[in-house]
Amino acid sequence: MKEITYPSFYELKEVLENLTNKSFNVAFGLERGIIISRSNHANTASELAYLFYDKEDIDEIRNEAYRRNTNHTLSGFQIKSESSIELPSVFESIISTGNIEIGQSLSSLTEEYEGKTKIFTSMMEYRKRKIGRIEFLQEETINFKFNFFQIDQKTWQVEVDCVRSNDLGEIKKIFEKNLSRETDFEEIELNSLTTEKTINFFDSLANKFDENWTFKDIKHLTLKRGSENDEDIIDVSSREEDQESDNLSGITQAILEGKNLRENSFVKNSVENGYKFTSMTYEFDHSTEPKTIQIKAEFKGRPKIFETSIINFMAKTGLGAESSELKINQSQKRKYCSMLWNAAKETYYELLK
Amino acid sequence: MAEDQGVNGDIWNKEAVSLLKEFGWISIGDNNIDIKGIDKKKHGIDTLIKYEGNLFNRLPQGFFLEAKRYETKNFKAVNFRDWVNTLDNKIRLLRGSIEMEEQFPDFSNSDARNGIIMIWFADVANYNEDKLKKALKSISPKNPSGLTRPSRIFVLDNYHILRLCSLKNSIENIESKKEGFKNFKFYYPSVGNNSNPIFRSNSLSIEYMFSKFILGEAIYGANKEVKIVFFFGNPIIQNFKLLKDCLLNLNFIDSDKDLILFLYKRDDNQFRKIRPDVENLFSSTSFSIRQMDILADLPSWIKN
Repeated sequence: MKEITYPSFYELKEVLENLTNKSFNVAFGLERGIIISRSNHANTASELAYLFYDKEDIDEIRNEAYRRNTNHTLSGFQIKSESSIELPSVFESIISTGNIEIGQSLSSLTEEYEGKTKIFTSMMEYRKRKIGRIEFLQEETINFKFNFFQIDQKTWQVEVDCVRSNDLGEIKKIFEKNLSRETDFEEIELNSLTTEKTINFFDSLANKFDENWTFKDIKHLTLKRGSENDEDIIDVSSREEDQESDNLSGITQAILEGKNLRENSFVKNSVENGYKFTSMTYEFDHSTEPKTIQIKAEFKGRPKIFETSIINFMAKTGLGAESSELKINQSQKRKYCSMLWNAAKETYYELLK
Repeated sequence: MAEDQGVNGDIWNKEAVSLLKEFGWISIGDNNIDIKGIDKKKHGIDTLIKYEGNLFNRLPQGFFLEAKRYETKNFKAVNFRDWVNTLDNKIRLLRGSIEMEEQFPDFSNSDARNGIIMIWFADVANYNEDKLKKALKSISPKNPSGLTRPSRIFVLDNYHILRLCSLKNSIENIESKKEGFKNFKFYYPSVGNNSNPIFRSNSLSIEYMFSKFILGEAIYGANKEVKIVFFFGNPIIQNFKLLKDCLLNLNFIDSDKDLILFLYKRDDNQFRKIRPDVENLFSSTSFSIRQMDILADLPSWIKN
């Protein structure tokens, strides 16, 4: 176990200034009877860094720094066995035999129904050593939720609410370690799709999210080319006011009109230059309620595995139908991410046929 | 009843000032004064008070002190917010006012951007620190605006006040004839962006009042320097490990100098189990542990 280290003034100030936000710092001070008024974020951070703290205080700052720098994404894989498999029993036996790595732990399963499907949920915790200047952030304890459910007698689907890029790999390794060698673990991998099929993949997703949501716009896309070690990236956002943004509009229009994205000039040009889509951020409007969601579909990591994440969730209010950010809880975010991920899974398997 | 409140309030004001003076703070002028601010209006202040010294690379710090004496049942968050807003306004309007500079130059020479509210809940048996914590949560500090400089307001209630009283008792104890220590001073390590040199002072800084540990030094016998730590966190082993790491980084642990650790929070049964581990942690030097008083009410020396 790593020795406990007390952060220096510099480290505390850095964390309070760059990794926590003003509202946390203000609340942190208020809890302790300190009110810093008419102060910018940097100054408040500095004032708080001058105090000496105990473990409870340091943990509060550390946990907030981790929490704020965590973006939940949803990813998953399917477990396919040659014979029928009861994954909950396998899981319980993993817990009782403790056949996991040092520093890892799993919580007991809980069960609930979503419609007719029985969902088993657990949490995993593991320690990750990070490289960085700030020593008291260097060993992070990560915990994340995951669930699994049965597709058929030989197939189970595992969905992981990732807070770090390692999370999917960590739970996958545990199952790999405890299931027979003949078991297959299938993920949605970019390498399995040709460039042409990748375009079709992202194209189809726009219309497959959910029947209650209608595609409206592409907010952002990324194209990459080259090997894993030497990548060129084209990053296009609708916020940019240049020709790149016009390209996005062209793509949006193509999707809305049901045209083949491969015929779009920007896409054609990119493909001819060896680029491949790796991410797209879609905007969907709810069919009946004044809500809008921006959700990202992305192939990420090495190898590039598919994941989804919420970028923004908004409500339209007032006579002018102005958008304002709507806070939704992590459970709801996971639900939307899962919807898009499962739509992507169907599309992926269709394209592989 | 109203007269009682007024008199009790005045008494508490004097007691609060008296307590801060025990820690090297200096009051300026009389209590309950009116001063014309930059808005040309008079503003009432209970006390102007400051401490000297160049601590953590800052000027001497000047404070507008408001002393409040309350029964727990009468304390309301809405009143508390008023106090904070009013004090914040006074800081803004009075520092740099011409009348302040003319009448109280010693105060104007300090960094007069601080307020301190000392709330004494007189019905000590009913005291509950959650009450103030809830009220604090309802505060929304003002955003930066124009040329107005930031200010700080520190709120002390029974917990902080009794902690200070206990600290004073411990220092007096070690400086007593029986113990034989002398020249106790608070120790300010070299920290911060500008890395000021180490500084020793009779004054207790506001940052130390709100920290979980306070460093000090004293002389024992003819010339033997002793390092002293007053610790206010929970007595769990992780806290002592963290404390040790901090003290090592500050070069405060010296194998040639005794180290005395005063503990404020007490859980005798639990601490007994880890005491050997704590002693082992600091075994590189001559180390001893002492307990601080846990006070239920203001000590008599404040009232006299």
